[in-house]
Parts: sequence; C-alpha cells; structure tokens
Amino acid sequence: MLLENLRLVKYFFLGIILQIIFFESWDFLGYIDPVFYIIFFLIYKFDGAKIKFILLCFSLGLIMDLITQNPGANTIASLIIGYIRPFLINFCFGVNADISNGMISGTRIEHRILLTILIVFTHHLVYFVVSYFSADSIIFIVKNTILTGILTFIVISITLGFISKK
Amino acid sequence: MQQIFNTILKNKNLILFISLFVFSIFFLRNRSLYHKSKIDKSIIEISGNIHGISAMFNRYFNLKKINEELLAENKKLIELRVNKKNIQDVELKTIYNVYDAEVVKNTIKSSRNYLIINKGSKDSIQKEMGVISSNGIIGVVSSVSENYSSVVSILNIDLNINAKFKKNNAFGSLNWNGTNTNKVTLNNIPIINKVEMGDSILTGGMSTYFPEGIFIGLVSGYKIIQDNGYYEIDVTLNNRVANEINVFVIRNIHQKEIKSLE
Repeated sequence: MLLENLRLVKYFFLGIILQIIFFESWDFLGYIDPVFYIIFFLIYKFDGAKIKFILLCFSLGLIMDLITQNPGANTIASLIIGYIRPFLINFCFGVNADISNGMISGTRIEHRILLTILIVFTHHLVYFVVSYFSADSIIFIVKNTILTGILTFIVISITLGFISKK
Repeated sequence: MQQIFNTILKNKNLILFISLFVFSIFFLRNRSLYHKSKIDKSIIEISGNIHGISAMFNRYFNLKKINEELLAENKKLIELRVNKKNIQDVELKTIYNVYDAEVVKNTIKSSRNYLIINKGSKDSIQKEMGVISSNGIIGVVSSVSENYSSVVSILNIDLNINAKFKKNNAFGSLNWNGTNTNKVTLNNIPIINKVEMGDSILTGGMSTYFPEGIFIGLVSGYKIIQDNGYYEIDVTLNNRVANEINVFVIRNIHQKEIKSLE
C-alpha cells in the first residue's frame, strides 16, 4: 500500500515537473505543447479509490493552473477526467475493467490505446473549450484539440511503453 | 434521516465532483476578466429567462395599474405637446434614443441592488446606458447579454449620479446610503446655495447616462457638514424603484465621442 502510494506521488509530481520544465517549452509548429501530466490519469490503478482520484485530479489541475498562470482550464479539464474515468475504463476494458494495473500489463494493447485516446482527447477538448469559451472559436478549438491531442498521444504512448517494459 | 445519509454516501463521488466543479468555475471567473464577462452574461441570460416567466404572470395581474400609469404618461405627453410652440426645434436637438423595456427581476434588499430587463444586445442595448421610468430614474446598464441586460439600480451604494436643483441649477452628486429605499442623498452642494424643504431635484446632464432635467424627487431634509462647507441633503424619490415594471433605456448618441474626450 505504501509502495503504491509512493508510486502515485512519484507520477503526480513527475507529471507536473516534466510538464513545466520540459514540455511547456516545446512549441511544436510554433504553438503546440503536449500535455504530459495526463499520464497520471492513466497510471492510477483501475480499482483505486474514486474519491481520492477525483481529489488528486483536481489538485493536479489546480497546481498546473497556478504555476502556468492559466485561468482555470487545467483544473476543470482534469476534474472532469477524474469523474468520468471509471466510465471510460468500463467502456474500453469491459470485463477486464477490474484489473488493477490494466494500463501496464494484463490487458489487450488496443484497449489501452482506446482509453489513452479517449482520455487525451476529452481532456484537450474540455481544456480548449474552457480556454476559448466562445462558440465563434469552434474551429480553433477543434484544430488545437486534434493537433495537441496527437502530440500528447505520441508522447504518452512512448512513456507508457517504456514503463511497461521496465 | 438514515435514507438521506445513505443517498449522500451513495452519491459521494458526484457530490464531490459538483462541489469541486462549482469551485473551479468561481476560480476561473475570478482569474480572468474575459471568462468573468462571459460567465456573467450567461448568468444574466439564465436568470432573465427564469424571472421572465414570473414577471409575465405579475404583469397580467397588474394590468389595471399599468393602464393607469400609461394614461398618466399620455396625459403628460399631451401636455408637453400642446405647450411646445415649435416642436421641430426640439426634435433637432434630440441626441438621445429611447428603447422601452420591462423589468423581469428587481432586488431592493441588498446594499448593491440591481435589475434585469428583458432587452439586450439584440435590441441595441449597450453598457452604460441610463434607465428611467415615467416617474424618475432607475439606474445604469452594467452588463448586456443577447436578450437581457443587468442594470445597477439607483438603490446601489456604488452608483453616483449627477443631479441639480431645479431652482438655481446648483450641481451635486446623488447616491444611496443603503438604508431607506425611498430616499437618496445629494452631496457636494456648497452652503452658499439656499436649500428649502420641498425643492425639486433633477438630473444634471453632466454625465452621458441621463439627459438634463429628469425629475428625481424632492428635498425632505438637509444638514450642513461643518468640516467642508457642503450640504448633505435627503431627497425623497419621486418613483418607487421596487414597483417599476415598464422602463425606458436611454442612449446618448454622442456617448462614445464624449467618453473619448474624458
């Protein structure tokens, strides 16, 4: 249990630190930065306490907003992921939804990819909707969601592959 | 009681999520002026729609009173028309557009009261337009959504309105002190001016919100502030802000030009 909590703390802060130090300054194609801290939403145990997960997601988003001077888009996007993740896991993994470390081992790769895609794109869609907060900016919202989502998905997939092998 | 606790425990995740979500919205609203303006507009729209339904019923049951007010208004206009010798001269000087509106929500219990009216940007209403009724002034438009507008009431301690005496044109600043909803206070009138009970107070026309000469109310008390040589004058409002239903929004067509010089 202690080891598990230490692992959670490690990914929680690793996500924040790498995001701020490394990924915030990528500016791929001039303006696209991958959102690396999403890895925490995927690594958290499938059968972990939901209430703790919602609080951790909220705290993660809030810390990111405070550090990056964002009005609050990270908080809202992370909180929504914190609440809907159990439904997404059930949707993607079906009967295997109770496998504790389903994102690392013991499940089919296509199910993991589907969950990663859903979490990444849902997070980004909420994030950009809150950031632009205008129906007139729908084109920018969709464009940024897709481009940032693809980049985040690639970065997250490589990192998850590395963790699985380890 | 046990069932209530069971329901709360059963939905604890949803309750936590909603609580944190509401907190996040407030967090977002406080950190960004853009989001604050957008969220406030949405709140006005939702609030206007909800209160519009109850206002519709109230208007139906107050039709008799509204008719009487309209008759009185007509009488005033006819009097004005027959007394003008050359009405074309007056029309040439017109720099105010007038839009009619109905009050759908009106607060009077707070120290910062406001109203919501059923006209918005779709009807050419903009921020900083003055709002009057047939009996006096109501407030100033503070925020506009597509179909509704929020109006800072004259019964709001933050609102200051330029006002003057009818008899000698002495100017001062009118504001509400947050207590009596029928009375406002006129400040900054120097003591060299003579003040009497029952003197008429009108809008001063020194701001772009209201045209000059709209009747506000009568002097009902005054005292001299010894330290600075000014009066503090109580003015009893001619209108009852809490009871107003039909109002008029006034737009000074030169407002932008005047503001650019301020």
